[in-house]
Amino acid sequence: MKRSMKTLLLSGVAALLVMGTAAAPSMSYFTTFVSAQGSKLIQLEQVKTMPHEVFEDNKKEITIENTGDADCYVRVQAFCGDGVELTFESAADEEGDLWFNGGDGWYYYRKVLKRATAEADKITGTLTITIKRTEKDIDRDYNVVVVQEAAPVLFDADGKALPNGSAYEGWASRYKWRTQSTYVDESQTGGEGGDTEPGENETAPDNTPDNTEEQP
Amino acid sequence: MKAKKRNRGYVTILLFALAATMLIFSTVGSSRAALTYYSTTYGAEVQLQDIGITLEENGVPVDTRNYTNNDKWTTGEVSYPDGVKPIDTPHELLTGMLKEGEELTIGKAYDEVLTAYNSGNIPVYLRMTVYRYWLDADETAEEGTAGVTGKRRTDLSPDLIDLAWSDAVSENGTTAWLHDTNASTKERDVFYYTDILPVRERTAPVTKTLTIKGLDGIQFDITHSETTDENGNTVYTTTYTYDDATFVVEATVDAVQTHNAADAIKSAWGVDVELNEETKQIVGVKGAPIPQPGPAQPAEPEPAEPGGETETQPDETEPQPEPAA
Repeated sequence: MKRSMKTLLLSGVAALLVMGTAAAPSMSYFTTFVSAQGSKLIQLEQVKTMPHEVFEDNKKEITIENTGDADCYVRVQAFCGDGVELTFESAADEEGDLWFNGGDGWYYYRKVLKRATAEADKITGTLTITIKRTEKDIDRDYNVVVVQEAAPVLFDADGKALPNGSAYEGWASRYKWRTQSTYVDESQTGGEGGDTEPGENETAPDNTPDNTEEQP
Repeated sequence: MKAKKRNRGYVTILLFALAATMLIFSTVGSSRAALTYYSTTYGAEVQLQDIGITLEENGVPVDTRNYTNNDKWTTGEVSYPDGVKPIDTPHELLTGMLKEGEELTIGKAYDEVLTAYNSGNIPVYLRMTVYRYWLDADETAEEGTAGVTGKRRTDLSPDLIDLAWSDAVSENGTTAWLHDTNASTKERDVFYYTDILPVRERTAPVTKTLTIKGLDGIQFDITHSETTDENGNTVYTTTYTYDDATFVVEATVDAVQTHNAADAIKSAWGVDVELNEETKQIVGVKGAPIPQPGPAQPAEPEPAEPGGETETQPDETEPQPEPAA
């Protein structure tokens, strides 16, 4: 009797195994898949600019040239010590002044400065800084420091360049140059003021290397 | 005594015969399925049960995989109601992103509409996985072009490869794509299409645009170094962290039958989904939040495709071997 039960049990197990093998095919399902991949290289060009300055008649005429391979924004700041007053005058085109006061101590060039390989718009219009002594202490030398910065152009979602001054924190490159001049009182020189004396006027030459700051 | 032994022997023989019969019937079942491949009548039915899916980028098919029969898959072209379209650049994304000679504009939102099209003959559930990551410049690639064999740059942020997810909603007012945030990482986002995708219809987009972030992005991730040249001038050098890096976008679509959906999804994708018994929508994934009603922008339903073949009911599906992963 015991052997009979054992035989039955084993046969039952065998039957279950057979059913299991038959059930296996029904465990698979309809599936499929697809995939794709894409990539692009990011190449960010260095922003390089060259400042140009003409100092004459107590006026600094500032222009900035893009010498790099990327379009950029530029801005300029000038400051001096007590007793000297600076006024700024911008060149203009049909749309108005090319330079505008950002209200943060900087003058921003309204247009995008095109890369060096561009055919046009790679040099700014002129920003004229007039230097006027407000004190009569004409024997004292004074310094006028001009700082220029450049940054890569930013674009909106439509691919249009954002206006200059919209992202002031991103200025990637910084260029400084410094001019030390002796003030000449026009009333005592017959209106021919503005000449600077040799050795006392250190103006950054036009061939100042890119990305350089002339040390005082 | 002898009679008892004889009885036991009969029982054993009977049980073996039963087991043998069951074994034979189990093989007969497989043979019967195999026979359908060679029958004209049954062949037509098998055709109606083929699964297929196509990945589209901006309306252009970029990969397709459709079961035909005899374990064969078609991958080179897609049959649309208005004709057959070849896959011009198989497995490739972003090929139409830039026009010839156009430079990539940082900050610009480029169209990157990823959709899936049911190119098979059975309705399916879908999962789309989108990857985005950075690679080193590929030295084997042509100058100025990207490659995909560079080393992975895990120090660069995938967030700056900004894919705008679609906010499309289904007809029931739930989100069209359920974002499984638990399965997602910084480089990978997993989405489940909540509706069943009928035959010859297209999903709502999972993505809308692709933007490489410039503002507060790669144009601002810079380092300055200062050196002094021989003339005493301070030379500033700016280094962009993301310069010469390659960004990569990948998309994978998985499709599974709707018959025995929960089990099929569990088997194929390894996840437990929660299905609405009435609408058959995926309303949740284990560990993922229940999708909330989407914003006011409705999904643009694809018009019904005229002239399509008779839609196969899920119950009519016959198991086919799963494709190799």
